[in-house]
Amino acid sequence: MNEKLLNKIICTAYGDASIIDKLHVRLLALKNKEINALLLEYKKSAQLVHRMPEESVSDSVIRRVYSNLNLNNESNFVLKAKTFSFFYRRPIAASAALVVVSIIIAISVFIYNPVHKTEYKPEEIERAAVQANEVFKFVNNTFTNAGRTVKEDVIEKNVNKPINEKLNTISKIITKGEVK
Amino acid sequence: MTEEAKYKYLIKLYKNNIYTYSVYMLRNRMDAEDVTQEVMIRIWKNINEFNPLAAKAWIMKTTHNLCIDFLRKRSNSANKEVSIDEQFEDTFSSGSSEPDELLDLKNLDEKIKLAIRNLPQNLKSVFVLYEIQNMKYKEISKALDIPLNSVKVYILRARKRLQEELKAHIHSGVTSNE
Repeated sequence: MNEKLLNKIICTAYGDASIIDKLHVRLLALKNKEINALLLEYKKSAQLVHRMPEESVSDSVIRRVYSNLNLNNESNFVLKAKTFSFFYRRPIAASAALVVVSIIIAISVFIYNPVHKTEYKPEEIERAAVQANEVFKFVNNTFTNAGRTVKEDVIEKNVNKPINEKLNTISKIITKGEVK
Repeated sequence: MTEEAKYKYLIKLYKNNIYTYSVYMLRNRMDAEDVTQEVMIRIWKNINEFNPLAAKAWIMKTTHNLCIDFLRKRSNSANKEVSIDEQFEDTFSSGSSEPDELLDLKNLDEKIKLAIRNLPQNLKSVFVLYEIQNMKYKEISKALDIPLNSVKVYILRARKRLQEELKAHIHSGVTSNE
Protein backbone atom coordinates (compact mmCIF):
# COMPACT_ATOMS: atom_id res chain seq x y z
CA MET A 1 0.00 0.00 0.00
CA ASN A 2 1.45 3.36 -0.94
CA GLU A 3 1.49 6.52 1.18
CA LYS A 4 -1.07 8.25 -0.99
CA LEU A 5 -3.63 5.48 -0.54
CA LEU A 6 -2.98 5.34 3.20
CA ASN A 7 -3.61 9.09 3.45
CA LYS A 8 -6.87 8.69 1.54
CA ILE A 9 -7.94 5.90 3.91
CA ILE A 10 -7.13 8.06 6.93
CA CYS A 11 -9.00 11.07 5.55
CA THR A 12 -11.99 8.89 4.66
CA ALA A 13 -12.03 7.47 8.17
CA TYR A 14 -11.87 10.95 9.70
CA GLY A 15 -14.55 12.26 7.36
CA ASP A 16 -12.64 14.99 5.52
CA ALA A 17 -11.76 13.21 2.28
CA SER A 18 -13.21 14.42 -1.00
CA ILE A 19 -16.27 12.57 -2.36
CA ILE A 20 -14.18 10.93 -5.07
CA ASP A 21 -11.58 9.72 -2.59
CA LYS A 22 -14.29 8.41 -0.27
CA LEU A 23 -15.90 6.43 -3.07
CA HIS A 24 -12.54 5.15 -4.21
CA VAL A 25 -11.56 3.98 -0.73
CA ARG A 26 -14.93 2.39 -0.06
CA LEU A 27 -14.80 0.48 -3.32
CA LEU A 28 -11.30 -0.74 -2.51
CA ALA A 29 -12.40 -1.69 1.00
CA LEU A 30 -15.15 -3.86 -0.44
CA LYS A 31 -12.64 -5.76 -2.53
CA ASN A 32 -9.65 -5.81 -0.19
CA LYS A 33 -9.89 -7.07 3.43
CA GLU A 34 -6.65 -5.43 4.50
CA ILE A 35 -7.83 -2.02 3.37
CA ASN A 36 -11.20 -2.59 4.99
CA ALA A 37 -9.55 -3.53 8.30
CA LEU A 38 -7.34 -0.46 8.20
CA LEU A 39 -10.28 1.79 7.39
CA LEU A 40 -12.25 0.40 10.33
CA GLU A 41 -9.32 0.88 12.71
CA TYR A 42 -8.93 4.49 11.75
CA LYS A 43 -12.69 5.02 11.91
CA LYS A 44 -12.73 3.81 15.49
CA SER A 45 -9.93 6.21 16.41
CA ALA A 46 -11.69 9.04 14.64
CA GLN A 47 -14.91 8.35 16.54
CA LEU A 48 -13.06 8.38 19.85
CA VAL A 49 -11.31 11.64 19.01
CA HIS A 50 -14.40 13.40 17.70
CA ARG A 51 -16.45 12.65 20.75
CA MET A 52 -13.86 14.18 23.06
CA PRO A 53 -15.64 16.95 24.95
CA GLU A 54 -14.20 20.41 25.40
CA GLU A 55 -12.73 21.24 28.78
CA SER A 56 -14.80 23.77 30.72
CA VAL A 57 -13.07 26.63 32.44
CA SER A 58 -14.38 27.34 35.90
CA ASP A 59 -16.45 30.47 36.56
CA SER A 60 -14.02 31.59 39.23
CA VAL A 61 -11.43 32.24 36.51
CA ILE A 62 -13.88 34.45 34.63
CA ARG A 63 -14.87 36.30 37.78
CA ARG A 64 -11.24 36.92 38.61
CA VAL A 65 -10.60 38.39 35.17
CA TYR A 66 -13.67 40.61 35.32
CA SER A 67 -12.67 41.76 38.76
CA ASN A 68 -9.13 42.60 37.55
CA LEU A 69 -10.55 44.59 34.67
CA ASN A 70 -13.23 46.26 36.84
CA LEU A 71 -15.99 44.84 34.72
CA ASN A 72 -19.48 44.16 35.95
CA ASN A 73 -19.82 40.48 36.77
CA GLU A 74 -23.52 40.44 36.19
CA SER A 75 -24.80 39.48 32.85
CA ASN A 76 -26.50 42.68 31.81
CA PHE A 77 -26.33 42.40 28.03
CA VAL A 78 -28.82 39.66 27.28
CA LEU A 79 -30.71 41.37 24.50
CA LYS A 80 -27.68 43.10 22.99
CA ALA A 81 -25.60 39.93 23.08
CA LYS A 82 -28.40 37.96 21.51
CA THR A 83 -28.73 40.57 18.77
CA PHE A 84 -24.96 40.58 18.28
CA SER A 85 -25.00 36.80 18.25
CA PHE A 86 -27.90 36.66 15.85
CA PHE A 87 -26.25 38.86 13.28
CA TYR A 88 -22.63 37.86 13.66
CA ARG A 89 -22.88 34.15 14.29
CA ARG A 90 -25.62 33.59 11.80
CA PRO A 91 -24.64 35.17 8.52
CA ILE A 92 -27.77 33.68 6.99
CA ALA A 93 -29.87 35.94 9.22
CA ALA A 94 -27.82 38.96 8.22
CA SER A 95 -28.13 38.02 4.54
CA ALA A 96 -31.88 37.50 4.91
CA ALA A 97 -32.27 40.91 6.53
CA LEU A 98 -30.32 42.47 3.67
CA VAL A 99 -32.50 40.72 1.08
CA VAL A 100 -35.69 41.93 2.79
CA VAL A 101 -34.45 45.52 2.89
CA SER A 102 -33.41 45.30 -0.78
CA ILE A 103 -36.85 44.00 -1.76
CA ILE A 104 -38.56 46.85 0.10
CA ILE A 105 -36.36 49.39 -1.65
CA ALA A 106 -36.97 47.76 -5.06
CA ILE A 107 -40.73 47.75 -4.52
CA SER A 108 -40.81 51.39 -3.53
CA VAL A 109 -38.57 52.54 -6.37
CA PHE A 110 -39.57 50.36 -9.32
CA ILE A 111 -42.96 48.82 -8.75
CA TYR A 112 -44.84 51.36 -6.67
CA ASN A 113 -44.14 54.23 -9.01
CA PRO A 114 -47.34 56.15 -9.78
CA VAL A 115 -47.50 57.18 -13.41
CA HIS A 116 -48.64 60.71 -13.99
CA LYS A 117 -51.03 60.62 -16.96
CA THR A 118 -51.03 63.76 -19.01
CA GLU A 119 -54.53 64.84 -20.08
CA TYR A 120 -55.01 66.88 -23.25
CA LYS A 121 -57.84 69.32 -24.00
CA PRO A 122 -60.20 68.64 -26.98
CA GLU A 123 -58.93 71.78 -28.79
CA GLU A 124 -55.35 70.56 -28.47
CA ILE A 125 -56.30 67.16 -29.86
CA GLU A 126 -58.09 68.73 -32.83
CA ARG A 127 -55.18 71.02 -33.58
CA ALA A 128 -52.80 68.12 -33.46
CA ALA A 129 -54.98 66.15 -35.90
CA VAL A 130 -55.05 69.07 -38.37
CA GLN A 131 -51.30 69.46 -38.14
CA ALA A 132 -50.80 65.75 -38.69
CA ASN A 133 -53.01 65.86 -41.81
CA GLU A 134 -51.01 68.74 -43.21
CA VAL A 135 -47.82 66.86 -42.66
CA PHE A 136 -49.20 63.77 -44.38
CA LYS A 137 -50.34 65.92 -47.38
CA PHE A 138 -46.92 67.51 -47.67
CA VAL A 139 -45.21 64.16 -47.62
CA ASN A 140 -47.67 62.82 -50.20
CA ASN A 141 -47.05 65.78 -52.53
CA THR A 142 -43.34 65.37 -52.21
CA PHE A 143 -43.49 61.74 -53.20
CA THR A 144 -45.88 62.46 -56.08
CA ASN A 145 -43.67 65.23 -57.45
CA ALA A 146 -40.64 63.10 -57.09
CA GLY A 147 -42.33 60.31 -58.99
CA ARG A 148 -43.38 62.69 -61.79
CA THR A 149 -39.91 64.12 -62.03
CA VAL A 150 -38.38 60.71 -62.27
CA LYS A 151 -40.89 59.62 -64.90
CA GLU A 152 -41.11 62.72 -67.07
CA ASP A 153 -37.79 64.44 -66.70
CA VAL A 154 -35.31 61.74 -65.89
CA ILE A 155 -36.58 58.60 -67.57
CA GLU A 156 -38.37 60.26 -70.50
CA LYS A 157 -35.67 62.72 -71.45
CA ASN A 158 -32.51 60.96 -70.47
CA VAL A 159 -33.39 57.33 -70.97
CA ASN A 160 -36.38 56.84 -73.26
CA LYS A 161 -35.47 59.50 -75.78
CA PRO A 162 -31.90 58.35 -76.48
CA ILE A 163 -33.07 54.73 -76.62
CA ASN A 164 -35.80 55.63 -79.10
CA GLU A 165 -33.38 57.54 -81.30
CA LYS A 166 -30.96 54.68 -81.40
CA LEU A 167 -33.72 52.21 -82.14
CA ASN A 168 -34.88 54.44 -85.05
CA THR A 169 -31.37 54.55 -86.41
CA ILE A 170 -31.07 50.80 -86.26
CA SER A 171 -34.47 50.44 -87.92
CA LYS A 172 -33.41 52.69 -90.78
CA ILE A 173 -30.21 50.79 -91.23
CA ILE A 174 -32.00 47.49 -91.35
CA THR A 175 -34.63 48.85 -93.80
CA LYS A 176 -32.30 50.62 -96.21
CA GLY A 177 -29.37 48.29 -95.80
CA GLU A 178 -27.01 51.27 -95.56
CA VAL A 179 -24.10 51.51 -93.09
CA LYS A 180 -23.07 55.06 -92.45
CA MET B 1 -22.89 47.56 21.35
CA THR B 2 -20.55 48.64 24.12
CA GLU B 3 -17.00 47.39 24.42
CA GLU B 4 -17.89 45.57 27.60
CA ALA B 5 -20.80 43.77 26.01
CA LYS B 6 -18.70 42.79 23.01
CA TYR B 7 -15.93 41.57 25.28
CA LYS B 8 -18.23 39.49 27.44
CA TYR B 9 -19.78 37.97 24.36
CA LEU B 10 -16.36 36.96 23.03
CA ILE B 11 -15.36 35.50 26.39
CA LYS B 12 -18.56 33.51 26.58
CA LEU B 13 -17.96 32.21 23.09
CA TYR B 14 -14.28 31.32 23.30
CA LYS B 15 -13.40 30.73 26.95
CA ASN B 16 -13.62 26.94 26.65
CA ASN B 17 -11.70 26.92 23.36
CA ILE B 18 -8.85 28.78 25.07
CA TYR B 19 -8.92 26.56 28.12
CA THR B 20 -9.15 23.27 26.20
CA TYR B 21 -6.21 24.16 23.99
CA SER B 22 -4.16 25.23 27.00
CA VAL B 23 -4.93 22.03 28.89
CA TYR B 24 -3.75 19.87 26.01
CA MET B 25 -0.64 21.94 25.41
CA LEU B 26 0.40 22.43 29.03
CA ARG B 27 -0.97 19.16 30.50
CA ASN B 28 -1.76 21.04 33.68
CA ARG B 29 -5.05 22.64 34.66
CA MET B 30 -3.59 25.32 36.87
CA ASP B 31 -1.20 26.50 34.19
CA ALA B 32 -4.05 26.31 31.69
CA GLU B 33 -6.14 28.58 33.92
CA ASP B 34 -3.28 31.07 34.16
CA VAL B 35 -2.92 31.14 30.38
CA THR B 36 -6.67 31.46 29.95
CA GLN B 37 -6.73 34.44 32.29
CA GLU B 38 -3.87 36.10 30.47
CA VAL B 39 -5.52 35.58 27.08
CA MET B 40 -8.75 37.11 28.36
CA ILE B 41 -6.90 40.17 29.62
CA ARG B 42 -5.21 40.55 26.24
CA ILE B 43 -8.53 40.29 24.47
CA TRP B 44 -9.80 43.19 26.58
CA LYS B 45 -6.72 45.27 25.81
CA ASN B 46 -7.17 44.68 22.09
CA ILE B 47 -10.95 44.73 21.95
CA ASN B 48 -11.04 47.55 19.41
CA GLU B 49 -8.19 46.32 17.28
CA PHE B 50 -9.48 43.14 15.77
CA ASN B 51 -12.49 42.12 13.75
CA PRO B 52 -14.93 40.17 15.96
CA LEU B 53 -15.81 38.04 12.96
CA ALA B 54 -12.18 36.88 12.67
CA ALA B 55 -11.64 36.73 16.42
CA LYS B 56 -11.11 33.00 16.74
CA ALA B 57 -7.84 32.93 14.78
CA TRP B 58 -6.43 35.86 16.74
CA ILE B 59 -7.50 34.41 20.09
CA MET B 60 -6.09 30.95 19.37
CA LYS B 61 -2.86 32.49 18.10
CA THR B 62 -2.50 34.41 21.34
CA THR B 63 -3.31 31.29 23.33
CA HIS B 64 -0.79 29.24 21.39
CA ASN B 65 1.97 31.82 21.85
CA LEU B 66 1.32 32.09 25.58
CA CYS B 67 1.37 28.29 25.92
CA ILE B 68 4.72 28.15 24.13
CA ASP B 69 6.09 30.85 26.44
CA PHE B 70 4.81 28.93 29.44
CA LEU B 71 6.43 25.72 28.27
CA ARG B 72 9.74 27.49 27.71
CA LYS B 73 9.66 28.96 31.21
CA ARG B 74 8.74 25.58 32.60
CA SER B 75 11.56 23.79 30.83
CA ASN B 76 14.02 26.45 32.00
CA SER B 77 12.97 26.09 35.58
CA ALA B 78 13.95 22.61 36.81
CA ASN B 79 12.02 22.97 40.08
CA LYS B 80 8.76 23.37 38.30
CA GLU B 81 9.06 20.21 36.29
CA VAL B 82 6.14 17.93 36.95
CA SER B 83 5.89 14.31 36.04
CA ILE B 84 3.33 13.81 33.32
CA ASP B 85 1.89 10.76 34.99
CA GLU B 86 1.45 12.55 38.32
CA GLN B 87 -0.18 15.49 36.62
CA PHE B 88 -2.43 13.20 34.71
CA GLU B 89 -3.55 11.55 37.94
CA ASP B 90 -4.13 14.88 39.68
CA THR B 91 -5.90 16.67 36.94
CA PHE B 92 -7.91 14.07 35.14
CA SER B 93 -8.87 11.27 37.49
CA SER B 94 -12.47 11.42 38.58
CA GLY B 95 -11.83 9.72 41.93
CA SER B 96 -15.46 8.80 42.44
CA SER B 97 -17.12 5.43 42.57
CA GLU B 98 -19.13 5.02 39.45
CA PRO B 99 -20.61 2.11 37.55
CA ASP B 100 -18.00 0.02 35.73
CA GLU B 101 -19.25 0.87 32.26
CA LEU B 102 -19.06 4.57 32.93
CA LEU B 103 -15.64 4.16 34.43
CA ASP B 104 -14.40 2.22 31.41
CA LEU B 105 -15.69 4.94 29.13
CA LYS B 106 -14.01 7.60 31.22
CA ASN B 107 -10.80 5.60 31.25
CA LEU B 108 -10.94 5.39 27.51
CA ASP B 109 -11.42 9.15 27.26
CA GLU B 110 -8.49 9.67 29.58
CA LYS B 111 -6.36 7.37 27.46
CA ILE B 112 -7.21 9.30 24.33
CA LYS B 113 -6.42 12.57 26.07
CA LEU B 114 -3.09 11.17 27.17
CA ALA B 115 -2.36 9.91 23.68
CA ILE B 116 -3.13 13.34 22.23
CA ARG B 117 -1.05 15.08 24.85
CA ASN B 118 1.87 12.77 24.09
CA LEU B 119 1.99 13.89 20.47
CA PRO B 120 4.94 16.09 19.48
CA GLN B 121 4.23 19.78 20.07
CA ASN B 122 3.93 20.82 16.44
CA LEU B 123 1.55 17.96 15.60
CA LYS B 124 -0.47 18.30 18.79
CA SER B 125 -1.27 21.98 18.33
CA VAL B 126 -2.59 21.44 14.81
CA PHE B 127 -4.44 18.26 15.78
CA VAL B 128 -6.23 19.83 18.75
CA LEU B 129 -7.25 22.91 16.78
CA TYR B 130 -8.58 20.82 13.88
CA GLU B 131 -10.10 17.74 15.46
CA ILE B 132 -11.30 19.07 18.81
CA GLN B 133 -11.78 22.78 18.20
CA ASN B 134 -13.10 22.27 14.65
CA MET B 135 -11.06 25.06 13.14
CA LYS B 136 -10.47 25.12 9.39
CA TYR B 137 -7.11 24.72 7.68
CA LYS B 138 -6.88 28.43 6.86
CA GLU B 139 -7.73 29.49 10.41
CA ILE B 140 -5.12 27.13 11.83
CA SER B 141 -2.56 28.36 9.32
CA LYS B 142 -3.21 31.95 10.49
CA ALA B 143 -3.32 31.08 14.18
CA LEU B 144 -0.08 29.11 14.20
CA ASP B 145 1.60 31.11 11.46
CA ILE B 146 2.47 28.05 9.38
CA PRO B 147 1.82 27.31 5.70
CA LEU B 148 -1.48 25.72 4.73
CA ASN B 149 0.20 22.61 3.34
CA SER B 150 2.07 22.12 6.59
CA VAL B 151 -1.25 22.13 8.43
CA LYS B 152 -2.54 19.28 6.26
CA VAL B 153 0.68 17.31 6.57
CA TYR B 154 0.79 17.72 10.36
CA ILE B 155 -2.81 16.58 10.73
CA LEU B 156 -2.10 13.40 8.78
CA ARG B 157 1.06 12.71 10.75
CA ALA B 158 -0.76 13.31 14.03
CA ARG B 159 -3.49 10.89 13.05
CA LYS B 160 -0.93 8.22 12.20
CA ARG B 161 0.94 8.74 15.46
CA LEU B 162 -2.27 8.65 17.43
CA GLN B 163 -3.27 5.46 15.70
CA GLU B 164 -0.08 3.79 16.89
CA GLU B 165 -0.77 4.96 20.44
CA LEU B 166 -4.37 3.83 20.41
CA LYS B 167 -3.77 0.54 18.60
CA ALA B 168 -3.17 -1.33 21.81
CA HIS B 169 -6.41 -0.05 23.32
CA ILE B 170 -8.46 -0.71 20.23
CA HIS B 171 -7.19 -4.26 19.86
CA SER B 172 -7.79 -5.01 23.51
CA GLY B 173 -11.50 -4.47 22.90
CA VAL B 174 -11.88 -1.33 24.98
CA THR B 175 -13.96 0.18 22.22
CA SER B 176 -16.64 -2.44 22.80
CA ASN B 177 -17.76 -0.24 25.67
CA GLU B 178 -19.15 2.35 23.23
